Amino acid sequence: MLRYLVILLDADAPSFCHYPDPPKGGDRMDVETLRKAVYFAQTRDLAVDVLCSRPPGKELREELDKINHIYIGQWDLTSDSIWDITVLDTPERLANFKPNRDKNVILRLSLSQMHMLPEMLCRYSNRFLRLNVMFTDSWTMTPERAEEYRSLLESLPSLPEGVQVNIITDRATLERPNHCGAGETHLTVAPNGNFYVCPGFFADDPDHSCGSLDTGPAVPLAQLYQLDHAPLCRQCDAWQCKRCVWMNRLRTREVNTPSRGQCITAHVERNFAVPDNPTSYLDPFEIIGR
Amino acid sequence: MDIRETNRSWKGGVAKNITFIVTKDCQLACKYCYLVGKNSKERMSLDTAKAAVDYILADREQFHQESVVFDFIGGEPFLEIDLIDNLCDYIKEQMFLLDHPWFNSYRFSFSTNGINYHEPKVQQFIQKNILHLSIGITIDGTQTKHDLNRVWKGSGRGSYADVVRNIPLWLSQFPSMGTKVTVSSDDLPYIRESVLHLFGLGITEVNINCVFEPVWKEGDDLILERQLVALADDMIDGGLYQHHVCSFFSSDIGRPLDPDRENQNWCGAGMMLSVDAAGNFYPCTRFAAYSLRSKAPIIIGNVRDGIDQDLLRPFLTLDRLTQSPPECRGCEVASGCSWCQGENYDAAPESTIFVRSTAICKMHKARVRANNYYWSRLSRKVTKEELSAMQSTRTTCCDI
Repeated sequence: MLRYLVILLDADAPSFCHYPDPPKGGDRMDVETLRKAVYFAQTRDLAVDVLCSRPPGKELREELDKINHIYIGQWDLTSDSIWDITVLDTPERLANFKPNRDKNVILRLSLSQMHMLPEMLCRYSNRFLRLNVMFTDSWTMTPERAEEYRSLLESLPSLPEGVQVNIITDRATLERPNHCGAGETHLTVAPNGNFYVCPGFFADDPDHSCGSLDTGPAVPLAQLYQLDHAPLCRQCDAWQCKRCVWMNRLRTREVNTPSRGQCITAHVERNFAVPDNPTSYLDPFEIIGR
Repeated sequence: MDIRETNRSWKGGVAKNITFIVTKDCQLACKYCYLVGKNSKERMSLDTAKAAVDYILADREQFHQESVVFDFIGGEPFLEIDLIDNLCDYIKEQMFLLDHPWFNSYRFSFSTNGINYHEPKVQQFIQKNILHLSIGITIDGTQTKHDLNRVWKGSGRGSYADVVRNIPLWLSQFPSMGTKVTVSSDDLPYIRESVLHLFGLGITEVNINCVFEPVWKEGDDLILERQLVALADDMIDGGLYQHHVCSFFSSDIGRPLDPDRENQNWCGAGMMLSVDAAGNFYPCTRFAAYSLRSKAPIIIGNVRDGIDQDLLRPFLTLDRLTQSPPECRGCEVASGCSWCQGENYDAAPESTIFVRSTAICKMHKARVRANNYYWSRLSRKVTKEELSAMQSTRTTCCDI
């Protein structure tokens, strides 16, 4: 069931997730299309996330102000005050933040940059309420590298009261899976007025949409986005894993099947958060695969 | 002859199947052939084949099965008998030099149209490797049925006479081998007479299946049922049931499947490995470009870089219920209903292997009705013990 809508206001809005940044120079959504998108969300009681490459102008803001929404955008000096969730592509950017216990931040990192996390948390963990670390290449995780990641998690400093860092704190507090839900609980509407499973699917192939604001959403083989149609994930309790269907498709060709690296990454985090009940494996494929 | 014994594949379940697509050429242009991209250009080189062997034999962790079946297919594999002969020598040599456990447990397997079976080079190869060979010749039945589909490329002439002349030689070398028959819509009326004809040729095991592709017309299921019921009568009244097997009749088909205990995938795609002339690996031959009518090939690696294990994960975690639509999940006669993962992929509305094609549904149900008739009649003819001894759990594999 749809619960929220991602409005991709700019085709070149920087990535806020696992998929790579799109090329610069794409279209911006026009007011009429945005009006339809807002109406779509209003009539289905959807929460709205707005992805931008730059702050919207007056006309677009007036349309968006008709519905509760949050802005997500990449940090820069002039527009950061606009964003409800700021996206960073390097930890050093946190140095630009003032201490702020309300701030939500997304930090996109490659695994080769994970060694920067301990010092970053030592210095800047008072500058946000919640930090989402997105490893953009988590499929490259190997059992050997997993040991390095496990050691790193154990070396992280303790966080101030109430502060969350997804890879450390999420699994310990979750009582059920907290997957991304792209294609199931949320869809993305692009500047062309078409729906996509997520902004990553739009970036990969704008011609492969799943419906439009005029015809309504129609996700082909929608059941494959549901947990009960994911043989590995439905038996997994690494609940903090986002189960990124974009990355699944990238690596295994199937939206319902994660790569080995994704599973290993998630299980290192899971076992760190639940030390009393570690899994005997890092990849559930080892016990489920034929 | 113990029917149950002959009705099993060699080392079924414990052997790794490795398929060399040695050529995409064939003398025939069978009308039901799923190979839409056959051509005479893509012939495997010995270097490529050796590279595949080297990769496979070097990785005992990945290829850990206790036995191996090296399949050679095409097109028509025996068009490349020189390559095959050299390659098989190389395989044997390398397994010996590497002290590989497969050296004591291997098979070379062929599915051929039988046209050049008698030729000296093929026969020399057979004599050299006879203890490790299984060869199946495809003959569809009577001349009428066979020539309906299995025709020469170009001329369109039927190939029955060119194949049947080699059946006695083949049976003298492989007396217990079965033949494989593929049934499409147009040849349904000839099933009964064709199976009986094959029995008459001395073939005791006829593995037969309806094609998985969406070719079935209104009323085809009733034709199939009538044909199989008539065949059942002939087999029972003529006593053929005692020493002959037609895979359409199997005691274990036509019951509901347990959602927990019987949720495994039916198809072996991903468990096997295919390699083509370019050195690309596939989870099964059916995922190579020449097999697919509407989808891109699924290449899982190549002889230089090896296999990308991530691309195999969907195949190795796929189960029956996940890919089945609701009508299959609740089907009362689900057992024995088979599918081809490649056809599922080819027929799916999106690029996925997780959607089961149901084109064969009504044909399976017709088969189940006729199968029930067969076993019902047989149970009145033989003792319980005899019936139990005849029961087989095997169904036909696929139409590859």
